[in-house]
Amino acid sequence: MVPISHYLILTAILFTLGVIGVLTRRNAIIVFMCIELMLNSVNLSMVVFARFLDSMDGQIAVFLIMTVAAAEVAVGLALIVAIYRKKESINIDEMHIMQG
Amino acid sequence: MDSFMQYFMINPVFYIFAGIAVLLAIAMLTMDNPVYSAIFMVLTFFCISVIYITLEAEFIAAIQVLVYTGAIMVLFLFVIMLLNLGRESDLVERSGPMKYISILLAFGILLQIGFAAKVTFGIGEKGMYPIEQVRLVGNTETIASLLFSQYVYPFEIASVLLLLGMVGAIIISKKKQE
Amino acid sequence: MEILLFGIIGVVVLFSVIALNALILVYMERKVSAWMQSRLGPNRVGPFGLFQTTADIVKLILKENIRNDQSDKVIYFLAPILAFVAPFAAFVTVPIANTIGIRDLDMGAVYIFALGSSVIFSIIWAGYGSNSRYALIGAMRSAAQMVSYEVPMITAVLGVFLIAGSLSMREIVTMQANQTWFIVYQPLGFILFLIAGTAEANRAPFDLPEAESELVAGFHTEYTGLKFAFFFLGEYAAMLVSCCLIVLLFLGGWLVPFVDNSIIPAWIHITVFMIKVYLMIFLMMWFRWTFPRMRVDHLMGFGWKVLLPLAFINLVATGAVVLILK
Repeated sequence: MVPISHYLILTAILFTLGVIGVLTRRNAIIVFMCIELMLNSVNLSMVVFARFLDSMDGQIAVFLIMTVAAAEVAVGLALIVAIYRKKESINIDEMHIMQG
Repeated sequence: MDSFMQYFMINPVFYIFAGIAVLLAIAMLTMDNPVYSAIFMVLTFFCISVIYITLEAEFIAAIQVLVYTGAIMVLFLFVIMLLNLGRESDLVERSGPMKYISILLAFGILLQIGFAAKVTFGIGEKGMYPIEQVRLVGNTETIASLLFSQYVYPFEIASVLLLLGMVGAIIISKKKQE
Repeated sequence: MEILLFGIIGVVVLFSVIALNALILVYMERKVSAWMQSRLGPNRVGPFGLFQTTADIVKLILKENIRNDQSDKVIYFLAPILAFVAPFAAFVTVPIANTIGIRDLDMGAVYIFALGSSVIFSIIWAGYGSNSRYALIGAMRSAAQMVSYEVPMITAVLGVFLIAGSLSMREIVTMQANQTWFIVYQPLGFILFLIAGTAEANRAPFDLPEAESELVAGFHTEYTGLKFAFFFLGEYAAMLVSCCLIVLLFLGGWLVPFVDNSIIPAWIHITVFMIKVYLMIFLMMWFRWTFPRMRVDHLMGFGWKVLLPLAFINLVATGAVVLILK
């Protein structure tokens, strides 16, 4: 069996890549994809822990996270479409109407 | 390095797909064209689903493919093509010191996660589902019986959430009739 | 090493079966359509025109490979491969007799649906990669259609899973051996699954993605030669998968009706299974030459407003009955 640390290193790297994407990119859709990547890396770590601790809860949590992710993507992309209709751009630096 | 090769021989599938997943994730976040990003995203998720299979979570692996390629990727591509963002991206990407500072911060997070993982390695109570037992009953059946007994309320709430997400997406993206 | 060897042999055998099946299906489609329109169909190459499709394949292979100058090289190249690989991989968990099948997964049905849904993105890649308006419109239509018909399709078969209490193909057929074929319990589910399966395989009357009278050829307009052949193979493989699914889930798989199946040798089971599958394929071809093509907005409305509510009614009713009888 591969040690748990190797799996966790993988999830940490994927999560970090997601963070880098969110921090460095301006294209809202790519930022969104990076958020999905972060969710996925967390899912992976949950399944890893579930496997190594002889538990099933991790897999159930992943199942629920996936439904949340699906709902989140639907709403998030709808928001992007709505914003694009208003501003003709999906640059996240231009989305500052809510700033005081 | 010797020990790494040893582990590699135990489970080559995991290491190969882990490597591919990381490369694809890097490709995903460096592409200018969002269509390419979406493709690399899906391929990354494919690799992750293979890793789920190495962890004997077959049901989660299948659901991963079903949800991410069947639903989420299609949504992404639809929006990209609907807004016609595919060809060339005229967005000026972030550059200069801010970019490097954020990458440094991200590595800080990596270190933090690594530290947390190192401290808490292998700590925790063992659960009630050792892998031999799950193999005997079947992964899908174990998840199903838990989901419809112990976790029935979260399950119901998730379904309501999906309904809300659907209604919300339709209302938000609908063109206003003037 | 043995596993690797076994895998390679399995892939080769599976590939040849699917390629042969595609040859037979093309011939069959032409003959069936000719028969329905009082024509003769192919009858020049070989006896009864049997080698017509072989000749066509040779022609496709020898054709010059033309690529649209503005197309996206990588995506354009990958799309046909993926279109073929996904239905190909789905055969892993399709058993053709009680003990014969590559591997029986305990979530076999979910696996097949997952692979079926990844066909969508090969189509989108093809549409986007070839950088042509017809191809792009065809691809978007196809993606919308496949996403929306996947929902009633999966909802329609949930009734079967409720009765069988399993997602494994082999166990579902075993359950049907103990009781009766699930088409008896699930007539509505069967009809819904048949309609949605036809739409999912992009067959007429739901073949809007490639509606030749309006879109030239839809998402594969810009493909020629071997790449086109791969799309072709993939399409027929997908059709074969959905017919296998219908037979396994509703029509008792390899079971012979009215007989004790435990004493029947395996080769009869295989023959019976193949006969059933080809009957279903014949039914799909019959649809194609009977119903006119639907309009694109009617198609979406039909999927969401007719099929899906019916599928939900079917699911809830089945659930209630299963609960009462338990």
